Amino acid sequence: MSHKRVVEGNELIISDDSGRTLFSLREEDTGGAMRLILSGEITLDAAHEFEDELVSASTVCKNLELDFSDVSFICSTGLKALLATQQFLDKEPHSSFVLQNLRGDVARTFRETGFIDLFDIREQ
Amino acid sequence: MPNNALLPYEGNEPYIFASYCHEDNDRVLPVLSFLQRNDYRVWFDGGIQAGEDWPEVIANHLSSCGVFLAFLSAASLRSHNCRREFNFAIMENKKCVIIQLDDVKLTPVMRMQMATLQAIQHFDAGNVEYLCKQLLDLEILRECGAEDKTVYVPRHRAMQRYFLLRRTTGERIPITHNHFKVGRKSELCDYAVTDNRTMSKEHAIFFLNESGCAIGDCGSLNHIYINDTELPHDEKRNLANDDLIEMGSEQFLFIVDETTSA
Repeated sequence: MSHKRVVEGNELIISDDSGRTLFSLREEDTGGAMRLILSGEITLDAAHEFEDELVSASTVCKNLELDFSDVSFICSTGLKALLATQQFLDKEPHSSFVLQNLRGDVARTFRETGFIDLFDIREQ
Repeated sequence: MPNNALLPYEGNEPYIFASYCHEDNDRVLPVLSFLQRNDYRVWFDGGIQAGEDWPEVIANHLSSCGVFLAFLSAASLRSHNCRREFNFAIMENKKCVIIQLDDVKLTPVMRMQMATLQAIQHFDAGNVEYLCKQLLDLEILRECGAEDKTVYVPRHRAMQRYFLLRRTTGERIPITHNHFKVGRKSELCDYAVTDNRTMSKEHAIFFLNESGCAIGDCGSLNHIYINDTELPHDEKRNLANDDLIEMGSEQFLFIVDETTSA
């Protein structure tokens, strides 16, 4: 399935062929950490882009915060990307990887898969 | 599909791992060929045999490479495999050289990754020849070249340059880059014949690739004739020295100029 990838300012936007935004990821450097503000659905189309940006972020900043306030769905590929990033950062000294504001179906997915015990999950 | 003249390096000496999207073959393979002709050891994914596990082969060659050479383009940014290779190289603290083929917008994270890397903005350079010369001047690549090459010495093997000789005026027009367009409209073409209405606004396009220079028709009204033979609209044809190209009533002689670097 094809999708479009556009970067506007600090935001990566993944949209379908009709231009509808599927997923977006805004990157903010807070000085001490890189904050990734996510929005939309992390379906298979978006998951690879999500994984790529997540891994890229972990190579330039060892303290990552992911805000899931506006994420309504995450697929297994997205979960795997989170796990891989966690495992990579675990090996880095003085690193942190925080997932914030899990909501609705996303929170339920984390609970049902047991992923809720694998990450540092917080409410902001 | 990789060019038949190119073979990925296999061996124990330091080599360049070339990362690129196959959509960019026509822009990348001539550069890889140039590097190999100048005795640089280059590995690229044309070396993967049927049945081999793709990620493991890539990871193994990436881990062992001396330099990671990435061709960054709009297509490579969309490619999950290209992004994985790039991220893996960063994680492995590989020496990296980035050739930016397109003027693409990068996310802040990628800009941060690129900030510490050696980058060449090819979309500013104008032609492959100029890019290749820049690569030969890069100290970082030297370990992946011939052992006795401490300072770049031009090879006796020629660098081919392509020209069109416009017969009505005697003007010699260099074909400076891939997708070089010739037509009547100067806003749409790299070389415009504004005073000949038998030519279409966009008449012909020239492709630079590993096998040389090829010509294609942009959908012209009066077609293109090569040595009196019509070129079908959907065909690309390789050109040879002294080929006569007719576009409407305009005639060009295709010239291959083999010169050595100074």
